[in-house]
Amino acid sequence: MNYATVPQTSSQQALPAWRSRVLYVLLLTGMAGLLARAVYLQGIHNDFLQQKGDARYGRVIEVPAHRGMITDRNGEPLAVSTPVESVWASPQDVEMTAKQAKQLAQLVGLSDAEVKAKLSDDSHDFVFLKRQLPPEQARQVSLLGIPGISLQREYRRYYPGGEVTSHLLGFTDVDDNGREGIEFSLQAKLGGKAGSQQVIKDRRGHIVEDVASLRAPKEGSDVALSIDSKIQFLAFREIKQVVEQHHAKAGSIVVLDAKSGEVLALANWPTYNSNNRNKPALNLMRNRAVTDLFEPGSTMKPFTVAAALEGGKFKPDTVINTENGVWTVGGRKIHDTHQKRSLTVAQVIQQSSNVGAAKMALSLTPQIFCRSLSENGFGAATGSEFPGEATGKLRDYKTLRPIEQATMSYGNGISVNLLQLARAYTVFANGGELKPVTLLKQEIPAVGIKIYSETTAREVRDMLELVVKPGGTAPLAQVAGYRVAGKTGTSHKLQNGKYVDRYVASFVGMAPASNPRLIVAVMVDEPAGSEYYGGLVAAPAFSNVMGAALRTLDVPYDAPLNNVLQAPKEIIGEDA
Amino acid sequence: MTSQHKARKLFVELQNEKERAQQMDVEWGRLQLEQSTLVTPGRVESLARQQLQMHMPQSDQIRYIRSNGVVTGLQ
Repeated sequence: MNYATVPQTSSQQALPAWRSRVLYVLLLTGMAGLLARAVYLQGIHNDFLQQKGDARYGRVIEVPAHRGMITDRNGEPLAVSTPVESVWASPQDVEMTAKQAKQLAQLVGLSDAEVKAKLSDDSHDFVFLKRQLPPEQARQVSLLGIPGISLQREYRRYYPGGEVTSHLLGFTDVDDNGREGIEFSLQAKLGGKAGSQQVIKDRRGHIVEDVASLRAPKEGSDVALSIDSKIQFLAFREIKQVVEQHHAKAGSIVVLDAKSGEVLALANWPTYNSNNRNKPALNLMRNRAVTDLFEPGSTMKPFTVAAALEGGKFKPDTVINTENGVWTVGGRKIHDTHQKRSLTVAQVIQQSSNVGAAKMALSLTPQIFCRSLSENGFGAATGSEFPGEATGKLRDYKTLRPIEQATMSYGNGISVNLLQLARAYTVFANGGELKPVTLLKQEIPAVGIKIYSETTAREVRDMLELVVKPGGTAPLAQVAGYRVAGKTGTSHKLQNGKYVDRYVASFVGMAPASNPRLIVAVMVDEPAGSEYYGGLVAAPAFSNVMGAALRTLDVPYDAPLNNVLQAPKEIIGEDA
Repeated sequence: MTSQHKARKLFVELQNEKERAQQMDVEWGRLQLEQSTLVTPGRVESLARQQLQMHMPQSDQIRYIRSNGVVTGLQ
């Protein structure tokens, strides 16, 4: 059709010009509106929309990092993380038949109703159905192929040693964070950094993994402890046996490498099994060797004697008037269990005379006496970095009364933890050098602090050897084939500021005395029954652990094998 | 086109290998755990004592061979 030929009326030509202009403007505005909207959506609002869009099918899941392994000094695993699977669901996406639901509930070990309850909560798009399922069961769950239900890899911590190492290692929570013990104190090193990964969900709610890794997980590093798992076991078995035999409240044992200050074993009884996920009772969780203070009693005397020897007024054979076993200081009486007119310095240690120790302490000024104790590490943290360590407190020498100085000389009125006490004995094993204690394996032996002269340290060690000989307080601490040097301790317990007839029995010693390799400290809290002296309760445990540990380490003998002498019927008990 | 196809194939292969590595990792962890549980001193000791009837030698049952070849011990 040819429009040009159509005749046009004048009225049509007279259409007002504004109409086309209006149309033109309208079109232009519409276009501008659309453009603006497009710019808004594509540019300014883009991020939000993109995010919403991704949220429809994308999920970011966490990729857990492997927690470092804890091994003993010989590389034996003490705590290992193994992968397990956790089953999680996205409730909106779950579609399953009643039969599948039943199977699922059975596999994850929940009742049908529990599963239903978890899945009916639509407010979250992530719900754990069951955490830490063994891989075998997890595979069966994924074989059910229920949309919206997926697996997530996690790690679970296992402790092959169980209760033998539980106080030492502590445990981790379900999220793999250390909660107690070494797991807690070395969290920064052991714990890895979880990574994240983007996944997409298909039409039916299944997760298609490995779309992109946003952040690779950073694995935790392994930690080698100074612990020797064989000695740890020996120590644990012995302390358990002793506590049960004497119906005691508790007991602790510490084994140190005398040369390097490394902790070779640290165990307590009662304890718990760290593999068990139920939170143990608080009193079982306490690592008493580190977190509990006790009055050391006579195990303090060697430090008093060493300070007195250093002071120059005493020699090992200096005779001290022990006042027939009763001596009055500042209106208070100090007693010995056995009345002796006089004893040499060496005999004061051997027979554990309180009067003798008090006299030696009072020959020193309070300042020198207190300084010598604090130099030995009393009243300060051991540096083991064990969580919750109790350091005890030393009295200020300025307010120290003579009677207090006298009682402190035999370990009353001062509290220590067992690790502190064991560590202090390193001075007698290392020619007067106090070693720092550590729970980590050391490649080079740590340098200690020189406190006493070589001569003083050796003289005190010789006196400590007399303690285990007949006539001393601890013949039961003898070990076949090795010379032993050590000291017993028996102290009354304090209750509401008063000493009561309940005791703490202890023994700290080292062997072989000619060149000490190990220090073993044993503490038994409230042995019930007629035997409560350190020499009767703690010394046999010391002997068993020391003997077995020295044999385990192939330490050469320094005494003939028939060196163990029959103890006299009546063992001298030190004053409690 | 060819290179894209190749890249996809390689990616799938990589995923498979990763999967295998992961499975081996699981297996290794399990075996490690199993081994360390089997060799705990407590278990070894009870097996030695009960099944094999072993015991610690008394000091008079021990002979020592010195480095010069002399055998010592107590009768």
